[in-house]
Amino acid sequence: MAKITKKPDKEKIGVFLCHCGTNIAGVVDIPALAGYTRDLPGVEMVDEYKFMCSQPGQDLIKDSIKKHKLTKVIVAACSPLMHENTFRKACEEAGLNRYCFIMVNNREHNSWVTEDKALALQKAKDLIRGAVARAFWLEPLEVKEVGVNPNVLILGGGIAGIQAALDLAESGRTVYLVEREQSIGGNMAKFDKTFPTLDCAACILTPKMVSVGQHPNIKLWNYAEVDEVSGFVGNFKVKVRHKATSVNFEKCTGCGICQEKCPVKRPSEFDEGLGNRKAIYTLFAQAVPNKPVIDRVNCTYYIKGKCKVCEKFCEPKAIDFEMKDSVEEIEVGSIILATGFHLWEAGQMPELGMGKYPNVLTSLQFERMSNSSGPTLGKILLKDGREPESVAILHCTGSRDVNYHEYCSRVCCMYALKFAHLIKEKTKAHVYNFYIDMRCFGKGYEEFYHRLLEENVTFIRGKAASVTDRAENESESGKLIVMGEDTLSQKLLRLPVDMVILTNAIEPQLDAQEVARKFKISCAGGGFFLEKHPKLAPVATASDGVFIAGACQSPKDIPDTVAQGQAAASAVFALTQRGKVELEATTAIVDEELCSGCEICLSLCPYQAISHNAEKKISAINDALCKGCGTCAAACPSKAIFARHYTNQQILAELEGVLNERI
Amino acid sequence: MAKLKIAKYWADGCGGCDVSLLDTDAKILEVAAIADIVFWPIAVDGKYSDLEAAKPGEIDITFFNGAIHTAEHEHIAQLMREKSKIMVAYGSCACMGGIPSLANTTDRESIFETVYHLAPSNDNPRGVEPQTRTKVPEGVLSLPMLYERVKRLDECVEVDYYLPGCPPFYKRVADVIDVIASGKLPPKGSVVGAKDKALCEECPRERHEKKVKEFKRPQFAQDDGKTCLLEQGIVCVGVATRGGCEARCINANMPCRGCYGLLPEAMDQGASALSAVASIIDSNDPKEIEKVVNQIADPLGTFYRFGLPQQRVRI
Amino acid sequence: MQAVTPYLEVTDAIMEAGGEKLKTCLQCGACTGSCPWAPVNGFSVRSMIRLSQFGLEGIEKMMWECSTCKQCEVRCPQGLPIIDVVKAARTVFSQGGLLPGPLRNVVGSLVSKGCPWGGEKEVRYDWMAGRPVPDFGPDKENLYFTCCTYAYDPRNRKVGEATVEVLNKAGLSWGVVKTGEVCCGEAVNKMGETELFGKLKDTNHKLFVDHKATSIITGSPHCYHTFTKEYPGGYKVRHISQVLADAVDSGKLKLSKSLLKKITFHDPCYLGRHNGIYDEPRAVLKAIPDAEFVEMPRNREDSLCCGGGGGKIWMEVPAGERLSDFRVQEAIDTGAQILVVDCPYCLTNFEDSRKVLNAEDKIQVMDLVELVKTVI
Repeated sequence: MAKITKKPDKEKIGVFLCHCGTNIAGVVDIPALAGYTRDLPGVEMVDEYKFMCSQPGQDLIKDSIKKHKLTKVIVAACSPLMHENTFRKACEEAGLNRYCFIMVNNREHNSWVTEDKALALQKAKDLIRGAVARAFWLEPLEVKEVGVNPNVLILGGGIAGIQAALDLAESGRTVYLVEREQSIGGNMAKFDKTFPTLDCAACILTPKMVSVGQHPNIKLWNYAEVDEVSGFVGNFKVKVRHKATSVNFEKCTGCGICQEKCPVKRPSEFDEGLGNRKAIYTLFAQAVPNKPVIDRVNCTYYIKGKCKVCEKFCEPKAIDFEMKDSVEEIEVGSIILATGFHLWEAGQMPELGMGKYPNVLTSLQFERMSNSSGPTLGKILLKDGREPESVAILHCTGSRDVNYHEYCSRVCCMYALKFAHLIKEKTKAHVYNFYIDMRCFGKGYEEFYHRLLEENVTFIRGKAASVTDRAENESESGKLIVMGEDTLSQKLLRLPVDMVILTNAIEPQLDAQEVARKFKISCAGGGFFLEKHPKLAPVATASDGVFIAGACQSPKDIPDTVAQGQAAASAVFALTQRGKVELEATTAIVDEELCSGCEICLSLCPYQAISHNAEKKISAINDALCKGCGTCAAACPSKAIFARHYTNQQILAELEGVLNERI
Repeated sequence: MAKLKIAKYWADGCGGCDVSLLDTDAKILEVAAIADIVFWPIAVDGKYSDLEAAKPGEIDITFFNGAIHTAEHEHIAQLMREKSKIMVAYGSCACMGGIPSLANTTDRESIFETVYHLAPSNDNPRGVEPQTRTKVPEGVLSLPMLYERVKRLDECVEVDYYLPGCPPFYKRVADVIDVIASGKLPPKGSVVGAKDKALCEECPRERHEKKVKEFKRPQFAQDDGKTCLLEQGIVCVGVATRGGCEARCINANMPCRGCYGLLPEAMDQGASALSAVASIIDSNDPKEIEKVVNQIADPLGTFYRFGLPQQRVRI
Repeated sequence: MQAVTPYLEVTDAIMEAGGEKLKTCLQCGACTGSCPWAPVNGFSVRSMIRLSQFGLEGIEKMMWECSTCKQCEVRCPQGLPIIDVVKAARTVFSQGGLLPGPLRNVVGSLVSKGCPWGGEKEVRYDWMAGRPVPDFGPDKENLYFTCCTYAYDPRNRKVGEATVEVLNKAGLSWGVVKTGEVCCGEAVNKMGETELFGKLKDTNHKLFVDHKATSIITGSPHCYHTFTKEYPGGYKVRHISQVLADAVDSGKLKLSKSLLKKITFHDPCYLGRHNGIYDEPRAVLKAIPDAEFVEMPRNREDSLCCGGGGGKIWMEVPAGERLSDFRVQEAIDTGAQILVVDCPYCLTNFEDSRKVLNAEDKIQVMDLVELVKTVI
């Protein structure tokens, strides 16, 4: 397709001025603007309406296109982010190519930011003049469609990934669920009870885990990671690395004798260091799949070359010390990232004594301690085996703190209440909560707070300043002393307790940036994956066909995480059910007559859409991968690349139009 | 067909353009076969008065080389335009200003100051500067006025064809002679004797990945003799320059300096080259980028060596 | 309870005087919980900020409780520059001579004599008499800036004297501009007297520039802080502990004499929390042959203020509320025989506390330079 090189003489341009109620019309003198616009070259007709985006407004545009045989349409209204698609559709319904339409942002760029009415009118005139000048150069573009592969990749087997996998598998899609740990279950598998209903996490999670393991449509790939992603919406190619487990899962019966016999003891990551695991291990008793892997870094055989105790006892001969990583390439049409969160290590706040005093616990350590299958079998115990007589729970550990994480981690207030309840239930200890604000926003949450107030828990309105073991008198000896102000009574408190539980901030996985790069999505402030729109597209991303769910997007509780898992599944379902996707037509294109093959553009493309055609010795752009960002077009020293819908002529004409009162 | 009448002139330039015509070797005999040279100060005896005496349109083709820097250059350009059917801007100076136009970075006063007062080779105890009119006992002597700004030929007269190069490559000059001989002239305003693609198209060097962490001047670089110079951190403006020269400089292991001028779709040769060079810096750290950028010696002279009067982006 | 109406003009004035971020306070109280004064006299930083947010009565008293030790600031989750708020409140309330009595004398002395101790200009350099103190000039690399306290206070004068000996022994190229120095202005700046501070700053800065000083050594961490954080700059500034650590590390200064004693180190607020210098003084102490170095429980970032910053060195603090008493006791409890400090205010306060605690035979208080002098 060649671009226009000469300005067409005859165009019939229709300009539609939206009042947006008083949003625009209250500042911009619309009748005066209409009068001015009518005299611009090429303008066939001008009309105005209170809400152009409404059905009557759209009908006005459609009727005018037919009646006046318009060749180009300009709507001066709000931001194209809001209604460009609305008006493009209206144009298309009236038989006009959607790319023969221009939207002028007369609201965000003008009426909302301009007080002086004369200046606002002037700016509106300038913007419309620019659009009219550009309209001459616009060309109809062809929108292509490609098929969508119905298979789905889900990365992360926490509750979000599990829920999405089950929903999609039920709808008949083939789901590849990739989990890097030995078992699915994620962080939720570590929890004891769940707030505010206090049902046990395992009771509600493990049935779902088992379903995942048994579902014929789910290919559960644990101990695996994604190496590489290529392709585009509907047609991704993904290379998955199966890490060497050293155990042949086909032969392994999951009897567990190997774990019993293995002589190596290591602090268990699943138990947050409070308990031990073996070098051949499953994460926990109800692991899915229930087949162990060997931790090669700590296995005596891999370190010293001998041991093989597990092999000796393994009846089905499932141990395979020579196993190597294998890479498998799969094709999927859509991807859900449900990679969860990382718990911030509070070591950076030395005043709270994390790592210094053994009875200062992280929130997940407490979850494991309170969990009946955890290292203490659910007993709340101090390091010396005693039951605590008093416990302080410190809120906002590294959250709402500009020095660490500025955001609120959102779940800590509620699980702190849950902790308080569990401690009261299991011990005679008194519980103190140091909080800045109690944030109990969800269904049944405020009621749970009330319940805890009745359970005789002490709430101290103030952030704990420090934890120390320096006793000032006999009653403090052997205790941890928490210092803080109760801001309500305006008293400085010196509180000796036996145990301190922190509410560590929830932060993005440590490799979130890397994963984002791999899947061509962005990270927002705080490092969490960025959604396409916080309200209207919360599980979509800037990369079409890639969706996000759960705590990888921002800290959230289980109900919200599950809801997002289902939301992502439904988005994938809609995409695959339609079976086709439109490719963006505003892509870049290489003029073969001009490209010298200098290869400047190659490394610049953020979507790897440009390749070098060795035969023709020029660059070639893959339409399906190109997002039309224009980086290559701007950089090309030959100007041999042009971005459709944003050609040099179009941009220069618009600039000329905006800056020059006589076009 | 009657023999063509052709003329050639040398304005603000180095004379290399005149020599380039002779570089065509035996081809010059073909020129003699199809054309009579009516005016070519460097090669043929002729006077301005002959030119003035000619009828309008009497000359078929004028090859005009050199930029316009004095009143005399402009006067002759106008005279030749009037007498010629076809006006060809010959060489980089006539086409786009060329090396002399780097004078546009300063003004006439500073040039005089440098040339007549500051230059160490001067012997000018009385501090004399040339005057457009000087009275001597024999009468009044006149000199053409030096302009404040060097101009392209097409800023003074209408130009029919542009033949770029510093100087134009003899093979391309020969091609143009062939075209003239064939009588099949391209549309007016065309660039002739050059390609529509950038130099990279005919560059023999290998390209791998354009990511540069350091820029070096050619004399300080360890050129491997086969990899794209830009990839080796040597600023080569071939990416933003028309091909046609068959990569003469590259074949002598020197970077392209841009004499064939801006590409057909580009608006500003220096800006194109600059944005290309900026695109390949392999860093996201503003401080490191600044350091790398500062390694480029004489950016204006590098990116606008030949085309300063063509510059759209004012620095 | 009496109803009050917020007096937001005061709030605005405090915000304008440098407390711009006042309103970002979450009122979480982490400041009060961290403040060394809170347990001894009930001072609540948070309350002071709350009152400032409303412009209510009480600020004008509370603001003088703060010794600008920065312990609250480093833990504030909002990153609120609390000392700036204190300083701004003092600027607003001390206008029109409303300074507490003792501070009025300090300001008077600074205005007329350029030093806060009431000492005459003429005698500022008397302590150097008969000592090998080189004149600073173009041939000298380092300008040594004498803190007023070293010049006028008899106990601190010994630190100055030791410095002369140690710097010469280290073979350093140094000198003193023996005329025209005035107080660095750190304390008066924190007292909210910004105009007076500006004058002192200009005088010293001009002195440095006129003498083409490129490298300045200070004995007091307060001078160090002010030159690096408040002055226009153009010269390198080092605290004496950094200079000594360098000299010991490079071998120019040999600590050769044995010291069979247990020593501990007190991190001055303005050296540690304010400027992050923790390792250098320790490196010097640990290089002393045979000396046993012990840490106090509260050390480094967690160090307890001596109570002398922010102008409080001149204010009367009732017995039982003096932080230096607690600190000296803490040092004694470690079993140390020498409490080493590196700041004239700390030295002054600790010497007083030794007497108050009747601990003169239990522990010695020495400046780092003084101790170094005894082992070279």
